[in-house]
Amino acid sequence: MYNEQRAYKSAILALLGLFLLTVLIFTVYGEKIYAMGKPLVTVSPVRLNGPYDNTAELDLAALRNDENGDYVYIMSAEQAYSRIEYSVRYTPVVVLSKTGTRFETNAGIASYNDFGLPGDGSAVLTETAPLKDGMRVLWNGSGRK
Amino acid sequence: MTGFIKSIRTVKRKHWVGKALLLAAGLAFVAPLVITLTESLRYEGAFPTVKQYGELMITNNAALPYFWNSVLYALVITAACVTLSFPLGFVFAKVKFPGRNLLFFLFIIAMMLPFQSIALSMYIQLRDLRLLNNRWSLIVPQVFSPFSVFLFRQFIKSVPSELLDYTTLETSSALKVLRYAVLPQTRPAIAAVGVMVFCEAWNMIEPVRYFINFKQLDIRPLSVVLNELPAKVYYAAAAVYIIPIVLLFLLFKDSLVASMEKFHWER
Repeated sequence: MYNEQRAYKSAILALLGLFLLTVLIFTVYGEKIYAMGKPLVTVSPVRLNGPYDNTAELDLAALRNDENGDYVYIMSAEQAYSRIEYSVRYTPVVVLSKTGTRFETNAGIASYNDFGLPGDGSAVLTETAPLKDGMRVLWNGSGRK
Repeated sequence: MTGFIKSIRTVKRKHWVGKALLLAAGLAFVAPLVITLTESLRYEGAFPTVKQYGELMITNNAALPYFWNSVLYALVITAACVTLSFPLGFVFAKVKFPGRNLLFFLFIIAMMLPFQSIALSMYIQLRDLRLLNNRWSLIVPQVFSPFSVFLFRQFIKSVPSELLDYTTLETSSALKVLRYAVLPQTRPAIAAVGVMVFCEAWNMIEPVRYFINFKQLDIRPLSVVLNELPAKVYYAAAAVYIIPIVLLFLLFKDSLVASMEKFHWER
């Protein structure tokens, strides 16, 4: 009886430990797992051309790890906070397909409009992703840098 | 004879009615848990799938730091509360001094007060101690729990005074009396109070609303953030939030039941 109880408690403790370990691993490495196979770039020297100009220019020389990248992440955390009041730490990221040194936005997806980025459809919004380490907020909500 | 059989049938019928009522009540209690777990296996119409957990853990794992906030608060509050309440309960149960009953009466009153009625006073107190807007503002108010002191007092009252007298012959240290005479007798009570305090801390909502400005410093526990999560990860997050409590209950259920029975008996 005593041994059974001990085994039961050990099993529950092991389950609890395993559960906490799993959550810990995903807390620390979740984003890295998500980013596997996805090129990440730092886009700090981007210039958005203006509130009514839906283009952004990117200094490729300042990009990191972008040689083989197909996507550039332009995040708009503050803009999202102010416009859609997304209070949880879900930071929307606008992902644009790369067309050289010039990146144009697209209003093809509803959530994209929430970011306030009108576009002419010359670039395709492919997905959204959480904010990555080393990335900076570029868009301040007014469309100005 | 016929009357006797009838009365047995009536008793049996009542027995089944009671069982049916209990079953219905049990189902009503379990339903939210079952719905949460079932819905956590649904993702954009697909069922069963673990994609919601994938979304929560990998794609949008921003909710997970809040989970660790909850773990931190619950562990620190539980450890501190049990450490403080246990000796206090001992004092109220076994140490005679003038005004003890009055003080205990005040404790009972403090236990009855709803949090909202003392929130402003607590806010002022925390502000003066410069503890607002940091993790201590969520920990400190919950550490001092009159309810835990009350429970410990009730449990420790059942420890035979002869045992304490015998121990005081061996040592004059109150801490040693607590450690060697009281603690071994009240282990189930410590587990039970620990689990209850942990659950209370795990589910904390009001102190977060009152004492921190999360727009400046987001140190909220998952209990508060849960209802702000997007629907596509909500149920998975709720399931993850529930699991530690369920496992803790399974771990300490014997102590909890034994303590409750003892508490009921002593009362």
